Amino acid sequence: MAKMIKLVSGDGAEFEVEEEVAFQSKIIKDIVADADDVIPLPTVSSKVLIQVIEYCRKHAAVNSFPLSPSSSAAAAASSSSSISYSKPVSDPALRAWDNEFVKLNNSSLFDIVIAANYLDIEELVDLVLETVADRIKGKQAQEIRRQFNIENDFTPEEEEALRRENSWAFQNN
Amino acid sequence: MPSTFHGLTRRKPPAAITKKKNKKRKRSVIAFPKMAPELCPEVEEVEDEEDEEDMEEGAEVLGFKLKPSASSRFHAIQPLGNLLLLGGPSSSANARDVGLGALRILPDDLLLDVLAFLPARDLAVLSSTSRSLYVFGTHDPLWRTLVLERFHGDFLFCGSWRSTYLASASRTLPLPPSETLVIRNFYSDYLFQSWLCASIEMKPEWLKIDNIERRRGISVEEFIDTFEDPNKPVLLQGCLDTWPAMKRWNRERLVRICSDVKFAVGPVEMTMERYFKYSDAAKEERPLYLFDPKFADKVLELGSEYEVPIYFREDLFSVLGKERPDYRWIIIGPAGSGSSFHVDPNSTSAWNAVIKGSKKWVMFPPEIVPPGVHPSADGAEVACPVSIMEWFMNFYAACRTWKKRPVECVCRAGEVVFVPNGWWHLVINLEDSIAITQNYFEKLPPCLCGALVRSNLLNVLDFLQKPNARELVSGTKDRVNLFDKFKTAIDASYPGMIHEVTAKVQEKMAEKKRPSFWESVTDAKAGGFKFSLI
Repeated sequence: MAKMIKLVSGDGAEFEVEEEVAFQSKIIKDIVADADDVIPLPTVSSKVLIQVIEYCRKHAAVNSFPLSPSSSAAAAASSSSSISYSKPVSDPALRAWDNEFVKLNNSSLFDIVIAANYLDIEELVDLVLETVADRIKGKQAQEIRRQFNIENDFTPEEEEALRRENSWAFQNN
Repeated sequence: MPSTFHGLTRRKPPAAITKKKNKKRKRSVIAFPKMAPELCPEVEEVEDEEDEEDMEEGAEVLGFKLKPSASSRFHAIQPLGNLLLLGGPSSSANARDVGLGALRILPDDLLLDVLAFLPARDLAVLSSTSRSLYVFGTHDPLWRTLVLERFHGDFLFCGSWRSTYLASASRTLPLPPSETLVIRNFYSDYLFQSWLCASIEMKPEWLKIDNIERRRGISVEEFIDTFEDPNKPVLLQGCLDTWPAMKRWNRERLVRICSDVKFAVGPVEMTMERYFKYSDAAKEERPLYLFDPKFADKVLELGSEYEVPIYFREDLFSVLGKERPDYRWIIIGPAGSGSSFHVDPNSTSAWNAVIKGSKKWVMFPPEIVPPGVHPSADGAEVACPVSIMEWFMNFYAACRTWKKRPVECVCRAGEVVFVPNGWWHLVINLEDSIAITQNYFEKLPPCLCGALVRSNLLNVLDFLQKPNARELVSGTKDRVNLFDKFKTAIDASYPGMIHEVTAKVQEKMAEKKRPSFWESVTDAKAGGFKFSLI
């Protein structure tokens, strides 16, 4: 019988999860090491916690080395003079699952990344950050503003100066 | 010694920035005190120069002196505490929140991590969407990554990484249009601290303590007995007097003899000339370091104009000849460059000789983890490695009240620091500096019935046997077989030694443990010692 950990959301809901699922969070792993099996998470709502647990459950099954101490060190070790990139999720099925998982509105995504950051679930943080970046890439300024409800607080002169600067730099790209 | 665990490059200081901002480098943001109202920029539009003065005065209030280096190209970012002076943390007073829209809920470090994924053009477009995103989008470390990825070492640094990118991308010299906008009323502890760490000089009180032992002209025997065997650091004077490098290695000559040869600088390679152009102008929290293990092969004069000081010439790894791992580096860097806390994973000792400039050292013995440092179980990584400035700002004061205080010194031109096996160390250049550092395995004394408990030979062999030794040993092409090769080579050169040493050490293990450096009981390695050649 797998060892269970109890997570309690900010609004008081309780979730029992298998240890290996909960240990996707480095913070939880450390807390449990001090022999504490009930973990209150006052800053995480139940809605967000459900989604985070779902991600952890999926990834616990796939993640044979939850410690992953060498993920970035090893990647760098093999190419010691090149810039190292984040470790890509190598399993295509898992990647597809991840892509479905992040089909959420911005607000939900942000809640998830803040919770994952707090819980130190590195891969989930990276996944969401990259997703947000994807929502910026390839867009014009006005589209980006619409996407994130950003107020344009430049003066017309400032905007013009910026346009000149950018076009000068990027006209050939 | 160069750090090995920042997840980027082994045996190199944390100079490189990954495409995705290194997740392990979480800034520990301190809550800044409010700055006196008369020191804050006016809420209304003011001249740029006044802003600059205010920032400088603000830094001085906090007790910091700013570097004299060039760039005044920054925004009037203020710490969050100042927002309270304006009557409360209402969103409308902070340009940060106004211009972020839904993104404002993200903390600064996560927002910058999003931006780290963007290619240059998208980052520039994003910067034009609002004043707040202009501040974030022009955060220079982002542009450093973009420059290094696209242009590698082939760029001419012009004041900031962003300017450098624009200039390089448009393929024009002279300089691009200067940055036009200075954004005011922007409050962020994270970015303020980033600016602060990039801009300040070392505080005098951080440099005051100098408690390392110093020796001049001692014999090799005395060095071994007093420092190498008991594993104690020491600063040696007078060993570099015979080095031609001391007279000849000035910038002009180095640029001349090295001409087009490229040296390792962080993740890229650059000529000396271009590197100096960068290091003169850079105003960064973590300046790029020129740090090359093949310098003596690349330019023969360099290798011939220095020699290993007499104390360090017995070096077991020399049995490997050409197959030995990287063991010597030339280190060149401006004030502020250096390495934050780390331990060499190769279980070697090291010496570091300053040819020009000066370095501040802080060292802790193996059994004491420095404050603010969290090593992983195998010692391969250090979680949350703060920058050197951050460490001094946030953690240095704490250890000064400890009973077991670190060993500290300033090492100047002509002096050599001996870094014993397993010691934590942090180094920062106080000015433009040129140094040579070398790792070695000290040869065992002929008589093994001395006081030695821990044998470095066995440490090395033990280390090479570890599963992750492949990752941790730098500079070798054939890591997997290194253990076998090394053992074979030692057996050939010193037959029977391994066996003898193993037996002696096991004897010692059974005896009472000797006091460690700080006279605490445990020797960190002894307890976990497991060694077998079977």
